[in-house]
Amino acid sequence: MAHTEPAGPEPEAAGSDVPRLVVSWLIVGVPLVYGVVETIRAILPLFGG
Amino acid sequence: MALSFLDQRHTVAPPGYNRWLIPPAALAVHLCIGQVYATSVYKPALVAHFDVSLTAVGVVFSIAIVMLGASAAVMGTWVDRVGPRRAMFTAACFWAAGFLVGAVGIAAGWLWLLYLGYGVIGGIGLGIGYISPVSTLIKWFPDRPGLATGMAIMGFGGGALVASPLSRRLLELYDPDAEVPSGAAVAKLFVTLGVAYFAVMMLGVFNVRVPPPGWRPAGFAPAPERSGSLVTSRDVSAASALATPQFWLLWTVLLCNVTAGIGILEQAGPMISDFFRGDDGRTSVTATEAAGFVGLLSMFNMAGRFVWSSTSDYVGRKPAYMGYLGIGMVAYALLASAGDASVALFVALAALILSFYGGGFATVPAYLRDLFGTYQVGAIHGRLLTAWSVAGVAGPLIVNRFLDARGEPGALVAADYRPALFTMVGVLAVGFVANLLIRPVAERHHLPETASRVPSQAS
Repeated sequence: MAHTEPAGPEPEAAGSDVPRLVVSWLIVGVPLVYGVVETIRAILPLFGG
Repeated sequence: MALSFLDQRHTVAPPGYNRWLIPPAALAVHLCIGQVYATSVYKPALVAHFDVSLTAVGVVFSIAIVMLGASAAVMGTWVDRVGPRRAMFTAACFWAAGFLVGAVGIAAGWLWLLYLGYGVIGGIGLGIGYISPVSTLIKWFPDRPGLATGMAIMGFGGGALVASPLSRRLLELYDPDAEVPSGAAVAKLFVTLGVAYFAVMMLGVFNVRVPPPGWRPAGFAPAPERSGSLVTSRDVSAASALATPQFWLLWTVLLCNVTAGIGILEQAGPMISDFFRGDDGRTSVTATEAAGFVGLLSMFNMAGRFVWSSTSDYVGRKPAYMGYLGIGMVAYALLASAGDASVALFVALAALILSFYGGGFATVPAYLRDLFGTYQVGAIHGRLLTAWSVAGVAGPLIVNRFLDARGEPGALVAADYRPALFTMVGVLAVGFVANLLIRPVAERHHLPETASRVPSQAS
């Protein structure tokens, strides 16, 4: 379907975007945090941990 | 047509679409393709399975990186024309197919099929995936292009951090008792990763949108163009960009920055051990600590992509690269001359250098935007990434040639690294000068105002 979008400054997002925003960031954020935590665990011996 | 939802015209954002949905869409792609830097996890298993040398298995990675640069350069214009959704979908298909074909190659014992699958097919997915979200992010974040591309390209660095421990866990699951996992376990790992990465990349496919023509964020007014400023509001086509000295100067900057970073990255584990080798030939750094050091560098590589690229929005692109290359030269010189004084100093200097390596990668799309506008910035970025392919060969070659001439691996000391490290200071100096020589693009290369305002006119 075609959209007719206004040009110029856009109002900030509607509140209905929030769940989608949270889920989207979680899907990429959780693996990233997992990777960082695992890497920090591997680094600790370097500092005597 | 069933796949018409991939068309550029169906990806124009409706009013009120939240632009903060775009970075996770880009991250979904970059986190998956960043796996290419985690191949060392299953390399020993493949060496044992195919009964070949480490070099023969390493060729898979080299093919993938060469295909990344080649496909980004060749497909860049197509990516700009068809839009991010079709490009991301294509990248997901190639990347997943690369794993699946590679898995068949491993299961059948055909190394050539692994080369074709992961190396060639997967490598094409890498190139298309790497550039697919870049121009879209720049269009959604005209106020913070460095932050936006930094977030996405950080994902490429973070992909290895995720894939390494995940692959280790999966291999333990598929072959619990083996010291070196079997080929069958690696084949299962490839199937799992192929399916999982395809699913995650689909998040990017469904979430990505392009802003409507003329859209700009609330409260943002483009700064009036100043005479002599590198930041232009005009556009340059990809074909014209290649005819400008600015493109080749920036190509040189990227080549030098990446060459210097790869030089350390490739040799990181043995390097820290060699720097702290005593007169008795024994090193004070354990294998576990050396592995931790490699992980630390990966973290700084990833963090540098976000932090330095975001910083460039405030300090400007040219000063940012003066920092990456200039401070990088000082750090390299200190590493060569005093790096063996203490482990803490060595680690701090190497981490700083790697953060600039990542920063250089992440800031370059915004630099291209400043110089050539947004019209075909994805295609221009794709062509610029050939510098990465060249650096991928040049960096290790410089370091390995010097080290080969100095002695045997396992018996080297800090002094043996000095010629290679001082050569890298020279490489960074060349990049520093190239950056200083960058001036605004000449008016004759600019497109007429109307030409660049019509998106995907060739589709």
